[in-house]
Amino acid sequence: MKSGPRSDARAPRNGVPLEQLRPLWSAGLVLTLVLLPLCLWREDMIFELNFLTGMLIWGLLALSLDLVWGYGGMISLGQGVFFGAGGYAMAWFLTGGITHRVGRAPDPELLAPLFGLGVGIALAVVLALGIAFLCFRSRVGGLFFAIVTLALAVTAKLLVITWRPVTGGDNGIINIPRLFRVDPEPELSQYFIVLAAVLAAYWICRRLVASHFGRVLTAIRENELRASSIGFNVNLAKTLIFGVAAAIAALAGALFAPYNGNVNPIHIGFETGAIVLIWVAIGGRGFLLGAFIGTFLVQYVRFYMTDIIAPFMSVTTANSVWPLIFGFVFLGVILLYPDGMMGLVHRIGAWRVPLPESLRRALARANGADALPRPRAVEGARTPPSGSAP
Amino acid sequence: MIGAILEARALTKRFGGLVAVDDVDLLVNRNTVHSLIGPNGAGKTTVFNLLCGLMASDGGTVTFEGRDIGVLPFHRITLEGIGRSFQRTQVFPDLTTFENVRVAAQTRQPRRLSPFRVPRGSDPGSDTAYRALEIVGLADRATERADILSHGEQRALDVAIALATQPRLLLLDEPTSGLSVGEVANMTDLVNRLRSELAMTVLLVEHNVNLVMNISDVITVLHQGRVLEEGSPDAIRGSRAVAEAYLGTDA
Repeated sequence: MKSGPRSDARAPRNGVPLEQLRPLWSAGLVLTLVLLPLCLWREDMIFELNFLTGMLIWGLLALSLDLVWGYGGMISLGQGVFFGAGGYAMAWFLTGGITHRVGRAPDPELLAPLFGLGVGIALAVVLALGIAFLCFRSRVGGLFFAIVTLALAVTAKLLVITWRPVTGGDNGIINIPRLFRVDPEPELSQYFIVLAAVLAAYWICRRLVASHFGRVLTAIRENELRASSIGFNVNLAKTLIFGVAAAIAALAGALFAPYNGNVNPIHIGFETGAIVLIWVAIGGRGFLLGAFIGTFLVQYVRFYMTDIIAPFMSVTTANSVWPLIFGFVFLGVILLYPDGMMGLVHRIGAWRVPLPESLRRALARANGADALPRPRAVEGARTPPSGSAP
Repeated sequence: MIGAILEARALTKRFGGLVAVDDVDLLVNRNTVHSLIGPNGAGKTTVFNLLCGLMASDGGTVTFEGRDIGVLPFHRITLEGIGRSFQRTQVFPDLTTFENVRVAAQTRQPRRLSPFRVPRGSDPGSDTAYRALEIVGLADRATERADILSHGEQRALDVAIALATQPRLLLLDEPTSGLSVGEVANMTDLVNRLRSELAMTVLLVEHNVNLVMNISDVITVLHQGRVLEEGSPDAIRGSRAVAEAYLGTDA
């Protein structure tokens, strides 16, 4: 009956992995995102607040790529096109695109944003479904699919530059008004509109990847031939998720246009589609949350490092150095840490913390809906037989 | 039940000028173990791929339980009741062993592609999945990731994935390739149990002649894309044509 370190290691480990506290984590994160701006709000913090708003919008775009890449297993360089479709449509309606042609404005406070959002999402989804249908019908997959989406991005940018009457050509659409202006704090109201949209989209994606459809998608990412051989229409599933992701990217674009005040061809082109790839890779693909972590990290580092290196080089030089740096980081992450920052998050999530029994039971209940179904008999098989204890 | 479960007539497949499968007739009877053997390049795997719709044939028909399945796309064949394993192991490496079979069992569940339905431990599919793991002897590995399983275990998982789709006909493409002696014995036992306990029909492509002779009811020998000989293991063992095909005319 000695209790040395050896027998300690064999004893069933007490405590709950941090990962299982997910309901608490989620609630805490949401509360922070809601309360922090409210509590700390001061006039001179507009810049920080807008930075956060921007992160949420870009994170939403990254989320759309994570669905396609992290779950569908397709590399898309064209998420910027869907983002741009949402952005341009919203910008067009908010700047009175209808007014010029019909002569009578729809209620600019309510109807214009709804029209902008609806048309933008519809445009993006139709485009995405069309491209995916054509690609998968002619068995274009893998790297070739990435090239097709790259071509799409280049074409879309050219189209936008050429179609001046609607898109404003090279200058894009400028002076886009804010959404639902609630004075005297338009920045704050904008932040909460964006936050609500992001939380809703994130929740939908969470449900989606846990669902039957999401499980099939994950199987397709893992092994397309096998997924098809157990009876699932691989092309249909891939086409559908590409459409869903396009809708989310368009939503991000529609939020971005009034936030940024202008949209221009850069937002629709390859530049946007490529940088998102880096965010998702660094955050970790296939986790949803990683998309936001990667976006935040890269943008934050880039922004504050610019201050630090500013004395040593001009802004123009700094701007051309960043893609180089992030390109190398991208390569490093892909080759060495395919799980990105989420790998780290999960390692921390495996740490165990002691919890009172009542709280533990409540957690088990809250986790129940989300937890991976485990065969009961297996759980039994893993507990050591009672007779073997000394 | 006696009678044919699968019937292929005049199956033909050409790759450019090469006729890989040439006018092959194949009749698989219900609740039997039927083996396809033949020297390398005889067209065994190609026949398999034609039967399960992975390749489009250049001629001939395939009938499963009286229905023409030759025109169906690959993924529909599984729903008709044909499961298959692959010569090169095909599993989902990043998922747990259990999820590997659970997602396969999902194919028989209501709303199998629904974005609103979340799989639960109480689903019938979870039971099917767990039973498939038990049959191949992987139940105690259920929570491990598939890519840390040994080669032999992954071969077994490949079969379990096919089983979880609840097939009536199972196509096994060289299930023992790369297995140790002990693992081959397990696989032999597994194929026997599939027929005797689960009343399944098994069509087998196999190189291990001892195994084929032990467990087959009927053996079809393919040579250069054609059916050379068909019969019971004893008849095949005594066939002069088969010996010549394998060893050359001087044998």
